[in-house]
Amino acid sequence: MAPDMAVTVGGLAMRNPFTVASGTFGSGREYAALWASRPELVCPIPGKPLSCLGALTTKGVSPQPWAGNDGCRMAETASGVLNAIGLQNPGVEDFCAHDLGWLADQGTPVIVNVCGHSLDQYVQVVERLEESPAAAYEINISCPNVDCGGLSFGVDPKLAAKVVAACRAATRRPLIVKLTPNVTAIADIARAAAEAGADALSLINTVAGLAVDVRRRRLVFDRGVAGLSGPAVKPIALHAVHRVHQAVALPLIGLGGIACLDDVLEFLLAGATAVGVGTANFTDPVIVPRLVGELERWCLDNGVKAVGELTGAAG
Amino acid sequence: MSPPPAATGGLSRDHDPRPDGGQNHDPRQGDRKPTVWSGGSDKSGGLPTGAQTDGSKDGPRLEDATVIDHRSLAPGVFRLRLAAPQIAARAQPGQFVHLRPPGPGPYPLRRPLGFYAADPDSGLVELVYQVVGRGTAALSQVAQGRISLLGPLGRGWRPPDALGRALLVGGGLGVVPLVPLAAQLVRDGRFEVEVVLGARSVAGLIGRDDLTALLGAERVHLVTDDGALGPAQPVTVPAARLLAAGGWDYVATCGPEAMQRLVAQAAEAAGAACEVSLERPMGCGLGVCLSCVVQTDRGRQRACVEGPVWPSRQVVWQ
Ligand SMILES: Cc1cc2nc3c(=O)[nH]c(=O)nc-3n(C[C@H](O)[C@H](O)[C@H](O)COP(=O)(O)OP(=O)(O)OC[C@H]3O[C@@H](n4cnc5c(N)ncnc54)[C@H](O)[C@@H]3O)c2cc1C
Ligand SMILES: Cc1cc2nc3c(=O)[nH]c(=O)nc-3n(C[C@H](O)[C@H](O)[C@H](O)COP(=O)(O)O)c2cc1C
Ligand code: FES
Repeated sequence: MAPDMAVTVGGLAMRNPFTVASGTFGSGREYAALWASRPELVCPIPGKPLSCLGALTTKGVSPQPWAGNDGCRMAETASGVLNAIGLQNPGVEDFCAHDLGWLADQGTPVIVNVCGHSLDQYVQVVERLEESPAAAYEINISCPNVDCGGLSFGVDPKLAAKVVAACRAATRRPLIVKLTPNVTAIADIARAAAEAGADALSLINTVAGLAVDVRRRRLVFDRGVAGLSGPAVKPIALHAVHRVHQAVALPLIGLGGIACLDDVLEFLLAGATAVGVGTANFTDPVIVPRLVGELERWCLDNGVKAVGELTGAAG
Repeated sequence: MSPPPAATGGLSRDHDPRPDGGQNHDPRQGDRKPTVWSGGSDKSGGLPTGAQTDGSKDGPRLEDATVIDHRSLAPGVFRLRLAAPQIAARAQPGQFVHLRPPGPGPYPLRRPLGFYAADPDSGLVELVYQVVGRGTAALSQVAQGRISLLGPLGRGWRPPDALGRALLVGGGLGVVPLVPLAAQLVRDGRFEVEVVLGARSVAGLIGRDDLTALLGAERVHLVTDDGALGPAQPVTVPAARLLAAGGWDYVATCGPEAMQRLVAQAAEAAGAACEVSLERPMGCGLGVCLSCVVQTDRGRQRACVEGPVWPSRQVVWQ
């Protein structure tokens, strides 16, 4: 019998445990077009390739347009990627006008990633989206690439709790809080978010990193710091997921360096209920539909009746 | 672009550092037809509009291309001929592929490489690249097998509709996207085309033989930094001299950004429409990650979607 691949993440029902990492998938149009060109892709809703996702997580959306960072924005490392995009986005109005309507019709629930420079800005975005077809919010308090807001909220349990409580007051939709690994005790932040009303947590955002241009004797990125993602960060992400799974009862979306089926299984077994695929979309732009199929096959072959059985099973 | 790009560039002089000495010869290499771009004369430059819709007819394809031939053209410079019918059918001059470096890596990012040629009839594409780091070094070791390509990507050259004279100015490997452009312009027959190529040394004058076959030696101006062919000077000097003489309607340039900027200034001063092709580090290649932005007079645009080719007047040079 076909295994039950559905999971529920803080009230958000997902057809399978897969979402994509915010900022690596845009609003899905480009990948939808590419997936549609693959004859081997079988999706649950014919003609809607994104329906093979459990949920789609959008790029970060702020109240006003953000220009993002100047200078170099991306570099490769030995087995990762450093980015300093700086949350460039056209703002919530433009997002609602151009992306959300289309997205909401693609047969997959939409998690809107929310960013802000201040507590009020997060709330503004959530309030603006309340009448929209967004299925859930992912509150990004963990971006290392912007000066104010972002990461500064995610490294302090009190500030994290404030942002979460303010967003909580603005919505009854599933509220996912995205955590940074750039802290000493991630479980403290997780607990603070849980107590302030988060329905689920996603982790990890990128790891703070730096690159130096030896030839020009200067830092590669204008702000110095950039965010590391890709295979290089997977052990850090797994450790974070495992710790947080022990510390709080909330469902977790695990992400950071997922690039193959074993990676997915590791995250689930370490405590994640769902997983996000980010940088690997750049390496292999059809990886997500492939992993969806591979995970189902693996469950079938290994006698797993419901994928949820795997969550935290590694102890 | 058609017939592929056979036997370009003085094959007999090529050295081949690979262990097999380049045994996987392409049977076509005997025919010395110049590179021709038969990708259609469509002025849209092959807009990958499909990337913006969910239509599946247009837009980029992910294709496992088969290596047909791979050889060194000069020290550290290679020409890779691949069978990639879906991509060859859609490629336009100035567009590029995002290539996944082969081997264990891991290489989290693909590498953008411009088309040197593409032929929808034979399904072949040609890339010409320089080894600059670990991705291109790994690529240069490949003798056979398959390589994953994503493409065609970006917006290519869009020469004006008018009749006239076109000057193409290439610095180093910047010549790559100019070769299929030259072929297209010649085929369309609207422009009289001349080319200025610059490189450090004569060996680095990639594309010279193909362009000479296409345009005639008198229309291909060569210059090197080492002075082997006359005065030692950057390509911008003869380009500016030609432009200052006037009579040009269209200028296309690719190479180091500082060089392109100087060419653009000279072209604009001479009253010619000028297009430049800019490089940025790229993540997705599809328009989602915003790592490849270029400052333009209409805000930040993506080199992988709105570029890599822009009218020079739109670029806000950094
Ligand atoms: C649209 C476009 C077309 C191009 N066409 C050609 C071509 O036809 N022939 C050719 O030889 N080169 C071309 N380049 C440059 C080529 O992409 C780089 O030389 C190549 O990516 C270097 O990879 P590497 O792994 O050897 O170098 P590394 O330095 O190890 O690469 C590390 C990272 O930096 C990126 N990177 C390094 N240099 C560049 C660069 N100049 N532009 C963009 N990203 C870079 C790499 O892609 C990789 O992600 C093009 C670049 C762009 C943007
Ligand atoms: C180019 C890029 C842009 C990103 N933008 C965002 C963003 O807007 N909001 C956010 O919460 N995380 C963002 N991230 C972080 C990812 O969502 C993810 O947490 C991180 O990359 C780790 O996953 P990965 O290793 O699978 O990429 C971005 C990452 C990359 C590489
Ligand atoms: S490379 Fe991702 S937007 Fe251009």
